Amino acid sequence: MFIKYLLGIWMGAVCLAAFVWAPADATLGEISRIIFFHIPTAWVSVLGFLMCMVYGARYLRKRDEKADAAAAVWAEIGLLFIVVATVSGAIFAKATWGAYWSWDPRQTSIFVLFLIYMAYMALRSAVDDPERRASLSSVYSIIAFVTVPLLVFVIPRLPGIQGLHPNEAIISNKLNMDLRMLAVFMASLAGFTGVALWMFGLKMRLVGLRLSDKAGAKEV
Amino acid sequence: MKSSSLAAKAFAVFAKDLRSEVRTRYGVGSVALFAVTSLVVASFAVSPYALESDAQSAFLWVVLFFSSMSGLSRSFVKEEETRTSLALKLSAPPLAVFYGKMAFNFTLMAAVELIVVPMFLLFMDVSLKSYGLFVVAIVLGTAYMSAATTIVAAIISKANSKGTLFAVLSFPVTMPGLIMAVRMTNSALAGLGVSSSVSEISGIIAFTVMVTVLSSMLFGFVWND
Amino acid sequence: MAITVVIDGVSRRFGERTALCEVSATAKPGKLLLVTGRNGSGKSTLLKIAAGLLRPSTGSVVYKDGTDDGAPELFSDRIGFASPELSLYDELSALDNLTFFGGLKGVKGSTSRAEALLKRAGLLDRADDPLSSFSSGMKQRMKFCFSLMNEPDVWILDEPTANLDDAGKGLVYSLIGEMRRKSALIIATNEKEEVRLGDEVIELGR
Repeated sequence: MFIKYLLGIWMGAVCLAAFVWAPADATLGEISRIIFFHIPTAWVSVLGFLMCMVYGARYLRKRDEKADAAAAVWAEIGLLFIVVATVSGAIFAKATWGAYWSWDPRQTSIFVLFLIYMAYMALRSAVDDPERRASLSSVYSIIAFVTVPLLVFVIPRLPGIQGLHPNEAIISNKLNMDLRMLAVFMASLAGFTGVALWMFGLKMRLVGLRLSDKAGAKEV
Repeated sequence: MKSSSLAAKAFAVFAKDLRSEVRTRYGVGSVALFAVTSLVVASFAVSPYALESDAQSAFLWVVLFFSSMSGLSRSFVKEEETRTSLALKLSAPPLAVFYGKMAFNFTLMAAVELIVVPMFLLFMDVSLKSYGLFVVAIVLGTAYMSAATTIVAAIISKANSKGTLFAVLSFPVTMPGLIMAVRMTNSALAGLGVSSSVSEISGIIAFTVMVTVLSSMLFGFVWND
Repeated sequence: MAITVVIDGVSRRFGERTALCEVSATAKPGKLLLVTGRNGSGKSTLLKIAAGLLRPSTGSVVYKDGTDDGAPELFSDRIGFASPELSLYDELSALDNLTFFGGLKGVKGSTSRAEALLKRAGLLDRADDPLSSFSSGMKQRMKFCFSLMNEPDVWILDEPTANLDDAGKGLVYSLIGEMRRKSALIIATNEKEEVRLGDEVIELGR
């Protein structure tokens, strides 16, 4: 209960600060404010799939149906965040580089992550037996997740791959970023992560109720 | 279990799949036919103009990717459909099944490529200067594809709606290797030698090893219900 | 070394449905375990769990051979299993099927062992014919040959006399008679007259 209000106030403050308090970037202009929303949601969408994989691995080790339920919940949450990240990224792309989509390596990797999420959902809906569904989707989440670092870190670093994303600019400027921008950015990162964790907690309570309901019904 | 006997058992699984395939020729036939049809359509649509080398390279891998999608799930799906997977499960160590089927997948694709790649060079009017890199690109790309898709094939063989699901699940997993293979093929068609693509070559070899090791660790969970 | 199979409090759920509820029994050489019950009572499920093909939801199955105790998976090369679901490769010949599976199980001299089993099953004259040309009774006999390739210490049979004529049934009973002294046998059947084969009989689904 308390968390809900805290998060609400926090994110409200972040949104306000993003538009009013933090300065716009010198070169990019007002559109740079999208950085406070685009990067944190992209980060959470990767985190979401990481958590999905971690719970999948736990299911394979412990055969705990709650772990599998948790993996599915993280997939739902991550999917929501990745849609937000992709759309906000496309808006930024249009405003800065003139096109909504140009298969820049970072754009490609987020799109592939989106496909991974969709593939994971498709797999889950294609298996009827709950235990088999849990094992198969856990294995797939691990295999699929391993490709994410490859796409996000390895391939963009290959010689000759031209990217639009201001990689160098942001990384070298990170420390030079105006302190107010940095503060809002960090706050947004923490806030969105908090929202995702809160959503997870909420959904897991529902799952817990449903599972204990089933157990109760069996005993009757 | 001695590793040499594991290799022998994997070979036995591979040999059995190969023998069945040679007898019926169904797999190679339908996959090669798909690939050739795609080639013919594209070549016809584009002629008399030749495509740029990067478009040619992309096209080749599109055809090879979708041909793989039509053929690489066969070895597992067939075991489930003919209900022979139980007998196999009772007899063979899971890793023997995994490596045997992976070797079969690679061989199947190689056989299809022996037909399709020369036709590609012919129909798409490709002037190939850098044979070495071209062959390396195809071999490594195929190795990665068979390594990455074997466990996915095992996964979908236990699910419903196998056909489309296989492509949907495979694409994200094959992407890293595909990107490398396309780049290497592109360089080859542009006349560059092997030395120009060292980072792609080492990259794709590393990816292939990584995905093979990871799949072999996880295969047991898929194979043993 | 002879194996004793200890089934302890095994339950198995499939989603909402409970297929087995707290089943306990043992099987060892000289003590044939017979499982009976109407269709759908969970006989096949229990046999699969006993063979290590399925995991129990609760409870355990332990194989004890005097030196090691462990789950069935650890003894997989000493188990023989035959069930209605089992299918061999239709495109291969009878002999090729057995030598293929024998090789995978690590059986030495699998060709001569396969020939001996085919002879015992009355199938030697069809050894080189593809399984697709076999009748269902002949395929049933092939399943026994398959399950006996590795001279199993644990022999698990699910409805062994299905599809068999009197000669076939006679073969099964004589094989059971030979195997029951050296190996732990677990048999599931619906046939009332076969229940007498069991030293310990459990009925599922009551």
